[in-house]
Amino acid sequence: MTGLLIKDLRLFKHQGRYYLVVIALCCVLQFFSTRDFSSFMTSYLSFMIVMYTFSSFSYDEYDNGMSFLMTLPCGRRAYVTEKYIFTVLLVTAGWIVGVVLRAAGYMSRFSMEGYRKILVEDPIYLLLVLIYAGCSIPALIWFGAEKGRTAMLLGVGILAFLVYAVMKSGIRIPLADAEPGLLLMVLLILCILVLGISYRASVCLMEKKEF
Amino acid sequence: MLIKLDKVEKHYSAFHLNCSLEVPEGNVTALIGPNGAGKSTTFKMILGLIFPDNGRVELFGKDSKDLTREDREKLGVVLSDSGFSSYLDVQDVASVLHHTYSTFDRKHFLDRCAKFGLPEKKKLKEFSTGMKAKLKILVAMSHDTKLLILDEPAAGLDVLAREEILDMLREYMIPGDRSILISSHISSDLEGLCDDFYLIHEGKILMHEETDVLLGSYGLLKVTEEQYKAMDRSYLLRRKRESFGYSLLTDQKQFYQENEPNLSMEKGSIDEVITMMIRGETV
Repeated sequence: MTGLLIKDLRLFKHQGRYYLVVIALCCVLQFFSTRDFSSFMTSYLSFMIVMYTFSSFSYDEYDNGMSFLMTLPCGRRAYVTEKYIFTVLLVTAGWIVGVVLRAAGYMSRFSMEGYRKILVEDPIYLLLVLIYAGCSIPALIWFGAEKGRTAMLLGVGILAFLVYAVMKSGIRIPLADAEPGLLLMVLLILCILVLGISYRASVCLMEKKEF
Repeated sequence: MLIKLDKVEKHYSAFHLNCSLEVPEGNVTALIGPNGAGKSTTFKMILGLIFPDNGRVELFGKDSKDLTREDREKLGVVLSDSGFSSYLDVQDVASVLHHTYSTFDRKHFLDRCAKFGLPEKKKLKEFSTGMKAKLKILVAMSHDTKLLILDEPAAGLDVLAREEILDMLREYMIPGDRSILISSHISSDLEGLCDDFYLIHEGKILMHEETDVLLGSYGLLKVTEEQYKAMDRSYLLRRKRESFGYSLLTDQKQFYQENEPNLSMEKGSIDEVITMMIRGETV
C-alpha cells in the first residue's frame, strides 16, 4: 500500500506549482482586500485539495492504468485503503496550510479577539469536506472517474434541492442554533460514520469490479 | 503447475471465452491467435482482473482468489495496453516499486533503465512506444519472480531492442524453476523462445503443440486439384483453396516426404499454422 501512496504523492508533487499559484492567489486576496476573505482561505483550499484527490482516480484510469495497478501485490482492498488515507492526509494537510494562512492573514489585519470567535469555523470546513469525500469515493470507485464525477454532481444537486426544500418549508433544522462545540462534535461523529460506511462500501464495490 | 485454467468460461454479449490451459514450471508457453481471439481476456482472467463465470483459475497451485501478497510478489506482468501512469517518471516508478516489492533492487533497475536508454527524469508520456515497452518489461523483471505474464511485450520495439529483450527472457529462464506465459504477434520471436504454444480463436483453444514438434513435424503442402484427389489424405489437418489448387496443413511431414515425394512441401511455421488452422477447413 505504501507504494500506491508514494505513487499518488509523486503525482501530486508534479502538480505542485499549480497549487502554489492558488495559495499565492489566496494570500493576495487575504492580505490586500478590504474585506475578510479568511474563511475562503480554509474552505476553498480544503475543497480544492479534495477535488485533486478525486482526480487521482483519473490519473490511475488514464491509459487503462487500473488494470496494471490491480496486478501489483497489494491488491484491491489495499488500493481502497490507500485512497482513503491519501484523501484524509492530503485534505488535512491542505486544511492546515489554510488555517495557518488564515490565522496569519486575519490577525495581521483584524483583531486577535475576532479570530478567536471565528476559530471554530475551520474544523467545520475540514469535517464537511471529509464527509463530502466519504460520499463521493464509492461513486468514483464504482463508476470510474468520469462517470463518478457526474454521479457526484447529481448527488450534490439532489442535496442542494433537499436543503432548499427544507428551508422553504419552514421546518426547524436541528442544531441550527446549537453551540459551536456541540455542532463540531456532531459533525465529527457524522464524519467518522460516513467515512467508515463509505470505506466498507468501497471495498465491497472494488472486490466486485472487473478491469 | 504455475498456471492452470480448467474449463474457464466467460460470457460477454458478443464474445464467449471457453479455455483450458497449463503452464508448467520451467516452461515458456505462448498464447497466439488473431486480434480479438481472446488472448487479453485469458490474461486478465489469470491475473484476476476479471472473474470466470465457470471453471477454475489456479496460480502457483492455488485458486487465484486465495493468492497471498507473497504469491503476487512472485509475479511479473506486462499488459499490452496498461502500465504506470504516464505522468510519472522512471525515478517515481522506482520509488513505487521499492515500496511495493520486498526483493526490488533499485540500483539494478535504474542501471538497466540507463542501459536501455530510458531517461530517469522524463515523464513516461514523453517516451516513445519502444521506450514504454522496454520500461514495462524492465518493471516486470525488476524483482525476484517465478512467473512472467507478458501480453504483447515486444509491441513497438525495433529488431535490436526485441533481440535484447529476448536475451533477457532467455537469461531469466536459466535457473530452471521459472516460467513465462507470453503472447506476441511476432511469431519469429516465439519460435526462438517458446517450448509450447496454444492457438486461441474466437475464445476457444484450437490447438496445443510443442514448438519443436510444430517446427519438425508440421508442413504445408501445395498441391493441384488432381494431386489432391490422388493423394493419401489421412494425415491432413486443414485445407485451404488457392488459385493453383490447395494448401494443406499436416502434422506428419515425414509421411508425405517419404510417400508423396513429388508434392511440394514447405516447412511449418507458427504463422502458417495460425493461418491454416483459422482460415482453412477441416479435411
